[in-house]
Amino acid sequence: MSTPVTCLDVRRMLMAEPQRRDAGIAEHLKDCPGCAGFAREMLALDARLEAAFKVPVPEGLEARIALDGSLKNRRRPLRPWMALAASVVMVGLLTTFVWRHEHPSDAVLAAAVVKHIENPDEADAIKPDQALLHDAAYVQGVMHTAGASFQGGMDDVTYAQVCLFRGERVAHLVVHGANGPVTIMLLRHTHVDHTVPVDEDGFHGVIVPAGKGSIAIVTNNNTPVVPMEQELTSKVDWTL
Amino acid sequence: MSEPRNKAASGAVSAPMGTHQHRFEMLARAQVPGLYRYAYWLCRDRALAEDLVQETLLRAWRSLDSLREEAAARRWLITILRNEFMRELSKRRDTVAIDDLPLVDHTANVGGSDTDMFDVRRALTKLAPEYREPLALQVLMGCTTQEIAEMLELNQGTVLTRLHRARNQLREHLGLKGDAIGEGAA
Repeated sequence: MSTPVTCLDVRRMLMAEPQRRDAGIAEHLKDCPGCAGFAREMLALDARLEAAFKVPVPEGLEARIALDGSLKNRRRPLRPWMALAASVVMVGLLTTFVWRHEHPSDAVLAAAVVKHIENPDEADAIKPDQALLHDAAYVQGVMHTAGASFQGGMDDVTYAQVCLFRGERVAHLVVHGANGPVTIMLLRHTHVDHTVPVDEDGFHGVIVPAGKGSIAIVTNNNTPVVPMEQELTSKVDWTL
Repeated sequence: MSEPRNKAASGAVSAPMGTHQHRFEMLARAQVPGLYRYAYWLCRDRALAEDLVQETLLRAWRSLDSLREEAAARRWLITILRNEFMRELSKRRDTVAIDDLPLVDHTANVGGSDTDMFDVRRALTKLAPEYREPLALQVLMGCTTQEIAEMLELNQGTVLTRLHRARNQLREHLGLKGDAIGEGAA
């Protein structure tokens, strides 16, 4: 690589590699205050980029993955009768687990919804005056991934994200309500057979049955959520 | 060309390792945070990013013996993860209309309430993937331009140009643009 001689050459190189300080660049920066300032600006930009790229990692992900590996390493052969007995116990436990997972108690479910909304990863979504998302295809894509669709699309959406909620993918949406943001979570895997009230930590709302799944409609302002129930439950379809 | 900026990331699994399990645990603990973040910026779907990392580590577990040098772990894992992502993309293209792919997150709202960070993340989402990916590999994963060129199967000049353009566009999006910097190879 030839030695850079002009400010433009140096700045081009710094735009691609802000930390680059080979002889030609270092020499130039020593004698050129303009380019030295530019180099500092690029390093500052990179520091902001690095911070922005570092999105929060789900809690315990490393440990979960390491544990997966450990469990795979501990398989031991079982005798046939032990394997049969273990299978029966496993099927029983699994059935109980799946049933409980899909039919959680009211209090557990309401608390889980509020905890998810309050999670620092999500908290910005319910700040007032968030801009509307104008990309309907994106919102539909989020719903599709979470196994849901909404007849006629959904209006006034300010946030749409596929989230993991109780181990399942759900659509987490925020819409402009009458008096501020309202969170809507489309819970395809969670069955409730009656309306579950949510009243926790300043949040209020409902989790309503919707076909084989349910919909959480929750807010921390005084937007009435009950009028939204009927429209949401009549328009949602579960696609998966 | 430049040195890897994130030396901790590249050398974090360099201790002598005995068992397969111990090696794997060390690998997972050292590399998962970076891999998750890289996966997120590839797909911008947190659930999918988590799946990609789990699948990557599962594949790594199966072929851990083929990893001779621990220092190469990061690059090896990035390559597996990219392949998994490409597989996922082509699977989705087969089953979902392309416009429905939830891989475009206009909100960039992925945690943290810092306004500056929100703005920078929003600006990053506006970059085309071919500019964002080398930037993530460089800034987040600490890869050199040569490593990026090899991983993305590009020549080094193209990588430098993309990195240059990525920062140029970010400066514009963030309102930092002062003196114009010419386009072209860096």
